[in-house]
Amino acid sequence: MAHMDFHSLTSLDETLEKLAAYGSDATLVAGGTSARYLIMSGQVEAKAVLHIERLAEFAGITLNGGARLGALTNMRDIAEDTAIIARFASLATAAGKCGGWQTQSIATIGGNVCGASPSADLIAPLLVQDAEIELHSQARGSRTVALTDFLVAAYKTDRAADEMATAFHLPAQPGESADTYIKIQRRSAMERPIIGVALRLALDESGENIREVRIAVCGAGPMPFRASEAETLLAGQAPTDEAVRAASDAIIKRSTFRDDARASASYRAAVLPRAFAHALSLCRATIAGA
Amino acid sequence: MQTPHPVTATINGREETFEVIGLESLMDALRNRLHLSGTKEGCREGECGACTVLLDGKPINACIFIARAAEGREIETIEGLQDDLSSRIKQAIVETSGVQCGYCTPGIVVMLSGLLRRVEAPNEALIREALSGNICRCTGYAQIVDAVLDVVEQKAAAS
Repeated sequence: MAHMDFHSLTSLDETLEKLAAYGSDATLVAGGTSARYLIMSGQVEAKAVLHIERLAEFAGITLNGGARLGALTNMRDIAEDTAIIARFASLATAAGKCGGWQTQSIATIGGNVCGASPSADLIAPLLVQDAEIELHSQARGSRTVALTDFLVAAYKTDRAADEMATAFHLPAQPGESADTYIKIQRRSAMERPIIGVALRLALDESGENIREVRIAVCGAGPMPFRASEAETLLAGQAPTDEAVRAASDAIIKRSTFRDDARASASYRAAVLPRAFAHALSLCRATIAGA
Repeated sequence: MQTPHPVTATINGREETFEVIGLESLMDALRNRLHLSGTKEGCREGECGACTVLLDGKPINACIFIARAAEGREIETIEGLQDDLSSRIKQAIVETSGVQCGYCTPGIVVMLSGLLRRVEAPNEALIREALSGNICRCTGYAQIVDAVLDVVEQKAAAS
């Protein structure tokens, strides 16, 4: 293997300086659960590895109206955080289903999202919170981007080569609302999702009609996406079987399914409407019980 | 050719310095450079848990952890887990026949030690969740879960 620089960094300034110097020759590594494999297998060519796991100021969860999660917050900490479980249940569930505890102890939210893998567990739950990502660079300071705009394509994001993701901002969520994440997988653990459905449902004062619903799906296209057509169909409606079916059809229409080692395209198409309907009923039950 | 780089970390309570190359895994460094062969090599991709060690008290798969990232940190391997709690876990696994071929056992004992240090009395669901990243192809897990429940029961009886 060719020579590779390795820098273990302890401050943002130091990191941004190295990023500015190396540009696209640098690969940021936090827990390294994914990045090390990509480098070792030759899928990512790195002339320099910038180890950022020690930037402790970017690990941790702060609550405001919503929540701010440092980009270096690990999966286990997200899965076990009582406030995240209470307010952003889909995110806690997804983090707790991402590999085993050995992976979750060091894998970070920043790595999961910035890797932009089609099966990244946290993306769909973040999309239904209308989450934003904050990035820093030496040249241009900080900027905040909606996650929908940040994710460009599979393995491709809007992050510039000299930028580091520092935080995720989850805005305050509507009242009378709940969220959930359904992950369809072959085993109950240690799997990538065959289909994943994240849902945020808000009901109106009557508790009968849908005020707003946000739907994000993974495993049904090259990248997780917000099913905005289905969202529009359901807004202001009562969740009758007919309305749910119409929304389901709109999600399917938007999807492209494929066969892979985990499942067939036809299985994915068959299971997605059921996962969606289940997610809706779980959210309704949570709101009713709250 | 890459030049070796020294790493200093606390391994099982003792400060050790060892040389690693490039993105060499912590598992390879532990086994080949420090001769701590209790950390087992299974999948080399973070799927099976045979290489589980504690990093600053948290379970990680040493096979995918960059050894250089261990600089200055505290690593516990199966060889270092000699405390009362770990010994009780090992004994309970023997008594419930939770070992068959034994290859996954060190990783499982490390994972369970990490769990029981942090959670006083985990229920069966939590024990199974904690073990979800440790693959055992012999026992079917039931005996291993029974062993942990026995340890929890002993702890409750003693207090």
